[in-house]
Amino acid sequence: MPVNQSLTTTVAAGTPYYRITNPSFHTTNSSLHSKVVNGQGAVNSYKGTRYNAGGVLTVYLTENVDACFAERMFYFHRETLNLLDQFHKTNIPPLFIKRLVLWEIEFANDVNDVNDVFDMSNPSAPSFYQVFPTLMLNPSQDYDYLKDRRSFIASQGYQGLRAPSSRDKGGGNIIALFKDQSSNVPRITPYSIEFRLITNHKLPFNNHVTDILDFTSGQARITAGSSPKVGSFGSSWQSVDFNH
Amino acid sequence: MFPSFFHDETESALILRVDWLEKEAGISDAFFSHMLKIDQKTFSRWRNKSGALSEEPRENLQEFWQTTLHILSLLNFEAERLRIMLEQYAEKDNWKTPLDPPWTGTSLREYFESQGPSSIKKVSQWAEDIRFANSY
Repeated sequence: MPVNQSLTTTVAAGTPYYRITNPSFHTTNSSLHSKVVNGQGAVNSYKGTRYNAGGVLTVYLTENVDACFAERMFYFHRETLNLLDQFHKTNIPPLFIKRLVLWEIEFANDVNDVNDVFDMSNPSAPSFYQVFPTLMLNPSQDYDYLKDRRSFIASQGYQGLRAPSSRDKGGGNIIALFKDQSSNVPRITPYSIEFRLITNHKLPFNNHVTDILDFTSGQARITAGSSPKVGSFGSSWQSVDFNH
Repeated sequence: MFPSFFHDETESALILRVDWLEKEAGISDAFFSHMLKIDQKTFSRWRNKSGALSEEPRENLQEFWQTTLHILSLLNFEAERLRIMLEQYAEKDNWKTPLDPPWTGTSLREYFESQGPSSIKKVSQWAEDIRFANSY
């Protein structure tokens, strides 16, 4: 079955997209920064995540900063809770503040040179390939069927997919591209950022023995970059709400 | 900012990664030779650029670096915490879960040294599960 052009969108050249990585990608050699969109993290993953099986190249992006922060904050919470759950065995204390890098990425060419990006934010699109909208928006981590659907969508010739972020309360979208984009990046701008956990009283979470975590919110701030603000985020701590 | 060798895939970058790990994480050529199951002199000669390393230990070293980055991510990229974690004994527990560290009953450093290359993937998968998986 060929690509259904009425259900596609374009990841457009010159439009900013966003991605967060660990800080080690922010190296002194800026020619290495485009590795942020080479999809190798997904290749090296043995289990995969929402829209990729383990070992399958995928480049995850968001269309706005809020969705990017909400997605990453969810996984910061998961990581902290998993570490806390294992603390009595590992003796590795979880940290409640995290250094990361936000990347603002622009592509040189539209990602539709061959085929297009399947747009699952179009209400008519999910049912076309039997994708259940509930699973797309499910804030838990029931990903098996979505991985299966991504494989099928890729087999139909699409270059990626666009879907609503299950974490972002503001309705932002994520993009999952199926090919290495590292040679298609004329402009990529790093911003050093920090995330921190907060308590149920909206105070910094400092002590796992006494504090109670806010399970659907954290805080973020920009600590360095070419501009003092990205989206609505600046140098002051600001709330990041997300679905958990 | 981080040095280029963190994400440069050349052989000289691989040597710089080993140098960095030995300095920052307190491990030695002896550790690497035990973990890679190769002769220590062979490893040291390669590190000093006076000898070659065959493909398999080089690939294992690359994988060990990726695993180290996963672990450092859990530790906020604070190398001192990596040094401590390598020596930390992991408690044995009768209650087994999928997120149990694979090095229970020993330290992470001893686990790498005793189990060899197969330990690298197991620790990498554990770190990935901590970062991305549901608890069960």
